Amino acid sequence: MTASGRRLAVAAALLAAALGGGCAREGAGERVLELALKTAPNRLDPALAVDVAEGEICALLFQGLVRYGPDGRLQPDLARTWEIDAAGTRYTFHLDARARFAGGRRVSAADVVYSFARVLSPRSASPRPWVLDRIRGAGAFGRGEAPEVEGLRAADDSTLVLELDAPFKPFLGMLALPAAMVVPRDAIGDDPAATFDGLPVGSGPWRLEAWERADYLLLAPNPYHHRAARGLDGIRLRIIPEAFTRVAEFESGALDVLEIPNAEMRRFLDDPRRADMIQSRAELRVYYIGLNNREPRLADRRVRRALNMAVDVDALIAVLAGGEAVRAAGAVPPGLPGYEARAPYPYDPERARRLLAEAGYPEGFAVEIWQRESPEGNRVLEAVQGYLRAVGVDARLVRREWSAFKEAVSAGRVDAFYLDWFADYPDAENFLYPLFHSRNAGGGGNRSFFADATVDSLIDAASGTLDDDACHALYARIDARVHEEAPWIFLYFPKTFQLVSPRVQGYRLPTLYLGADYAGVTKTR
Amino acid sequence: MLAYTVRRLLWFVPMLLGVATVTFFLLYVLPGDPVLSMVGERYDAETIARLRAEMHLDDPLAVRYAKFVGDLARLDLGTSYVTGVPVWESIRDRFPYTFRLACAAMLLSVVIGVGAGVVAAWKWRTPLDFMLIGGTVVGVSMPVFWLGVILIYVFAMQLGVLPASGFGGGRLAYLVMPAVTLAMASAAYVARITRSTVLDEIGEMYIRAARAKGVPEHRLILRHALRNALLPVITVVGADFGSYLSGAVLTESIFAWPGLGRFTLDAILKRDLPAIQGAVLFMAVAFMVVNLVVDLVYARVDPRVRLGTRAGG
Repeated sequence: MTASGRRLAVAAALLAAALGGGCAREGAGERVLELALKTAPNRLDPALAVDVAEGEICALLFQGLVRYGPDGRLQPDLARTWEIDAAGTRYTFHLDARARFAGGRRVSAADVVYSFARVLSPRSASPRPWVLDRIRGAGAFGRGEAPEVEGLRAADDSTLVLELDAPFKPFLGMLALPAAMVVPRDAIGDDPAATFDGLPVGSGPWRLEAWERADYLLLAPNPYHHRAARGLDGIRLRIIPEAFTRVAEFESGALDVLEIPNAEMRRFLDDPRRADMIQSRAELRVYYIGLNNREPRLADRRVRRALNMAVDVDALIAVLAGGEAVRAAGAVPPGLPGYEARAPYPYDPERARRLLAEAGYPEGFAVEIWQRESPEGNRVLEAVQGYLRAVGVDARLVRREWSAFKEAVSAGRVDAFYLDWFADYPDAENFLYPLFHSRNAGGGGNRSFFADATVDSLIDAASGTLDDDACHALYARIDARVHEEAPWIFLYFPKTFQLVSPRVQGYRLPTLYLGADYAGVTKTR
Repeated sequence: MLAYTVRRLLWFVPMLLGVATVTFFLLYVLPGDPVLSMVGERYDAETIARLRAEMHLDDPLAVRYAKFVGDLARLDLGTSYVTGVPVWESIRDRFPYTFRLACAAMLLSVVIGVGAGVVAAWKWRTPLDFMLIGGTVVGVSMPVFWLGVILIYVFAMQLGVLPASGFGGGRLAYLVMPAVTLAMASAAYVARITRSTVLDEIGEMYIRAARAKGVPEHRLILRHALRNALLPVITVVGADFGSYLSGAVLTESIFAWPGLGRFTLDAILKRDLPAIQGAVLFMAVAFMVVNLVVDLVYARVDPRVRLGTRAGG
């Protein structure tokens, strides 16, 4: 072989090594449920989880005292039973003696105390202490003024007692959120800022077997869990950011469940061969254009109502959401107690112009509407821009990526913004309190800086009301008042559609993202 | 050549410091708060203040810069705000995926590009030449995302012969479509350059002399004209390879390829400052190393190139 021939051979061998490297990693077995995630989860520690993908996976790996079933109803989880005293402030939980972490150690009440204190600690890295901050003494503990949380204690190994400052109806449901899930102290240690060193370990029905950060996660049934899946050997969650690619993967049989993207909605829904494969549900989510109620022109209720009348929301739904969404006339989505069907603002540009003239803007005015980068947002806002122009309001659309958008909107530096809000827990309170209570102005969720003393006092009254009917009646009143005051341009409550492969049986599209456990799912080849 | 290489490597230090400094201050003036990316949709002021303090975001700019440069001097790229994983570890984990895709794309780009360019030059002004050159116009102007989507549609959805996306545990079938997508524009460009430089060389005196001596045409082109036409090709392929090593955001997103491009994009969208700085520095190093290698290869391929000496010296 000549010198150049040898060099060529070496180069070819190096290239072959670069291309051919990597060992094929197969699933845990034949019956692996193939799912897709839109974004890669960043942290799989319940105290640190913030987005939907992280929450969904935490709900598979960990347990809270309670959990949401696929139907959105609260079920026992770590706690088999519980009692709440008549005042609604003292909760006693009796833990399930069967509960085991994936290593086999029993879950005790001390683990719950440890996990909650970790979230509330002044040195906590958790971004969501608000989930537990109604426990008595949580504030003082969080400020470093008390060595422990006064209202949080393990009465014995399997009994946990929680005391609240004041009765708060949604509290039990909030205990199903990731921030209230239980982690083993021995896997993390005493430093509240620490997290799992390696793969996370919980007591949920699944355990994490492999985590290739940007590629996939592989879960296997947790053999110590009483609801461990029998019909599946594993779940592979592949990270596929592009909607088109997810569709292609489903169509070529590499995915078992597909959330249908809006752009493909009609193609799938109108295909009779797919009818049996489709599952749908109304999402606990609302889309809206928030109006900055502190902005002098938008502080006038007549102007805000005029903007609501200027936009033909029904046409937006028909054209942009494939007709598959419910018009919003309030913020509480249908399906939640407290929802009440009411007449939305009529599409009436003439009346809108009159209202604007009454408010002192006969010639209209100019506003900026901010949005985060999204093709769907573009389509909605370009339509809205056209409707507003027809009543003399010149809307300039400002696109920013999420981080810059959130910073400006939460600081009240924008006139108006397009956004959505979805439920952490299925309770109307999760919409009304963060979005409209003046206490939450800005980052707390109330980014329209809406402040109404009546709404504030009604929300406070509702959260302390223990009687279901009375509480729901109050929610409906608050929602009606909010609609009347029009802090937003109310758009719609979307619906989700999923295609489920015929190979999969027993799968139900959960009401809430935390609600899937895949316990009864089976897959045939 | 050794002295030259060492000198070039020493130059890396001030250049990297420059890149790091510019990135640091650019990120400082950009709108967007990294803490807001960590807290979800609902947060309170105390939580934000606590996290900001923990991440030293409230420290004076000079203090933050000094700490950043100090860490850098110890080759510590910091820990991602968002994932909690050391940035170097993330880059190290992602790089093999990117490297694999970059090598495959470069290989395709050279083989297809040089092959098509040589054939086009050889068959100058024949229908084959026109066809190939027409093909390169399409290749250069085709947007990456469009080509990716078309390939997935045809080969995964319709024919079912290739997997649509993912890394597939390293199986070669998963590499085919991302590599073709990434290589296409570069291959077309290389083909055009190869064709025109080979044509230039064919007009040179030495080629005419060789032809007069009876050297067969294919030998003339492959052994003489092509060798001299390689310099511009190496330049193009080197620059492309450098950019492939920084990750190919579009290709990686379409094909769910877990490389550095998506890592960098995610970091930018979440204002994950340590991750952005780490990724930018890594890109800078990749480019510098590739450029150095290209220069060294120049000298090997073309004896007229003298490294590190003044022209005419």
